[in-house]
Amino acid sequence: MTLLLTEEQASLADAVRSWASSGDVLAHARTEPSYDDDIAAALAGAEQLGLLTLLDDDQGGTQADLAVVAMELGHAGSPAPVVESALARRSGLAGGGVFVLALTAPEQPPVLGKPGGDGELVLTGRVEAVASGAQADALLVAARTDAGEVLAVVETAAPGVTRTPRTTLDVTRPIAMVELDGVTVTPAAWTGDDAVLAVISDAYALHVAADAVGAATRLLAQTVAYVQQREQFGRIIGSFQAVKHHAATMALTVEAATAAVRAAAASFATDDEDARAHAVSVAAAYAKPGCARVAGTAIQLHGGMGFTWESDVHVLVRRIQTDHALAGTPAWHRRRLARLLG
Amino acid sequence: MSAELDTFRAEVRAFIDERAPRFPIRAGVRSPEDGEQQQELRRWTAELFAAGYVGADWPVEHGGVADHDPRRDDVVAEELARAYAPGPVSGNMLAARALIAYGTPEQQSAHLARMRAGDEIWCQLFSEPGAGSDLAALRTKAERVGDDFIVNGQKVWTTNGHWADLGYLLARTDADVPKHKGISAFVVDMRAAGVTVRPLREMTGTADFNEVFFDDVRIPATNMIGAPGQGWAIANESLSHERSGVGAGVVALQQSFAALWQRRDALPHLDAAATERLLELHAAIEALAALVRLGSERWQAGTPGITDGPMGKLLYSELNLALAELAVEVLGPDGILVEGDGGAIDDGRWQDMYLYARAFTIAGGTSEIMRNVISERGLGLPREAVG
Repeated sequence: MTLLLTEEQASLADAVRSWASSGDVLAHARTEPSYDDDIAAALAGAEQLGLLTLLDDDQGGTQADLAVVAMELGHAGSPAPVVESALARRSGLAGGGVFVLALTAPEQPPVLGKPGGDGELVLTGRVEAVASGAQADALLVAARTDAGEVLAVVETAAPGVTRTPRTTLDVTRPIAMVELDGVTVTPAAWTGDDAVLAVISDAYALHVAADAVGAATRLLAQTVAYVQQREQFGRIIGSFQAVKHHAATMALTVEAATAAVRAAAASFATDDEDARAHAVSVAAAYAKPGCARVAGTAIQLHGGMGFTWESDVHVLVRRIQTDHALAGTPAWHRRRLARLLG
Repeated sequence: MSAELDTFRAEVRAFIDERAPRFPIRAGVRSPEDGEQQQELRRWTAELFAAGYVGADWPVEHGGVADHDPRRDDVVAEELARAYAPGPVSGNMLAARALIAYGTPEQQSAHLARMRAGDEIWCQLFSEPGAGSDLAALRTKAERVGDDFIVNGQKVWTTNGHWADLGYLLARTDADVPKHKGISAFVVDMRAAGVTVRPLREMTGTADFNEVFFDDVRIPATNMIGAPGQGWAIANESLSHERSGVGAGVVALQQSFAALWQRRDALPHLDAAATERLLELHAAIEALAALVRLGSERWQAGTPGITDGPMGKLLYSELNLALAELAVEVLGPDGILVEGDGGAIDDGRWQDMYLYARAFTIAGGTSEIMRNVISERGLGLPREAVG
């Protein structure tokens, strides 16, 4: 599989960029909205573009296509939980309304599942950070049972579900904590497919890394534009070698992170689970800290302007640092690499 | 297509196993240590050409292969790196490119076949003490006198200069035009009167480069490659074919990482913090591998990125240095022992890698020049004053 974007992927990227960037998304984010009125509408738009069903068997879409989408959502700073919705559908389980992925971070204790009566499953535990968790109608949760890992759909209106919106670094996406206290799941709403869960977790880690790369790509472009118009000492600051070299390092990091994400996306085309896990953890362990470095340099090169609330720079910096913590921190992915290297 | 490449890779690997000279494992491109190694390199260069593993991208009339798949060049470079085997002499590859693109039919027939046969070893005579990053400032002078040019000046960093038969020389033929326009390219006989080659011992303790002095060296005017003043363009054209270097470097880095990782239980100084750094480097090396793969795919698609080469070179050389520094550090007190000491780990391979790593961040365009190129050509920031 090639790492170059196909023509279809390039058009997909264009379509998502113009859709996700319509309206001033980052200015809206700076008003620190609750997003309660935004998520369902945003997902309706995504559905019209076919993004939520991208991974459905009859659509022929791939995780590589979804990674292209994820990169554009990060670039736009979009609140839309497109990745979380497409991956929830990928489970094969049905959830009504806003249906999103709610995976426990791999560093945190898993949700536990116990058999109830008549093939029901009873879930107890906590998912600390769920994108659009407070706005969702249904969640796809992973749980550990005595018989192995399972995936289950939890209706957010069900008894025993408590959702607490969190105040986070990220002002571009609403994030909530979800607590499950003896929540009953009907037999039709859960499945014990380890392989599907492994694909979904790896894909989520991939798309979170892609999101950070998208945001970093935009920060690079904004920074290059800024240093070409800002003048000090009678020259544009982009003519100073200290500034140029910072910009070059940003560009190199963004390019290498993009390549790592594309290689990880390509790894989903094979059945080699270890190779896929390795490629995904490489992408996460390189791209997430790399994008955080790019973000830091972006602020530095914007000088005092970059430190103001009115600047878009910190909005993307916040998103990148949040991506850093989601779907496995770089440290967790390094430990997984160590395990895979044997 | 990929299965065909896999078969090719297996064939190349078997060939290298059977035929490659076995020199001590050292970082980078090193000079042969004695006459025997020189003869081995000539034989090996000839065998690589004869097998079609190098020079396949040359024009068919000079021994190239019709419909050559350039990905094969990457496979050969990677397999040579994997086996710690030397490649074909770099000066030959560079000079051949200049002759193919700009040489006269006489020059081509005089040299290309002999290069393929290992009968001619070439060195590159570009850098000077006063012309490193600013190569176009070179001052070695070639003055036209009758049917000859008389050359005076000094070159440095000349790989293989002490045993090369011929040199690919850049010299100033016109001092009255802007510096890039007054340079011409020549074929010079390294055994001509007035050529003095002096080995240059580097911080590694080995002498892998030379200084070359020209005192009234007479070169026939027919030895000029291309036209007067075309030297800068010729040099750029020949350097633009050096693509496979970073790909081979990635394989070498992956092997070095794997060697350290495999012995980690025997490295008491590889503590938790150092292990994190080692794994960070692993992720970065694999990201570099993806970067190189992406650049290679762009190149094959006929849409090469203008900064693909500089980005690969910059990231490779910096990761290589970081891995070498970490390796020496985690060897602990034994990390000070070098080749020649009975207690040296892996015959001092890591210390050699550590010292030689400094060549990669400087040679072939320093990291600073790479950042200039990326920011200027890639990002469109203003150019440094180039005179």
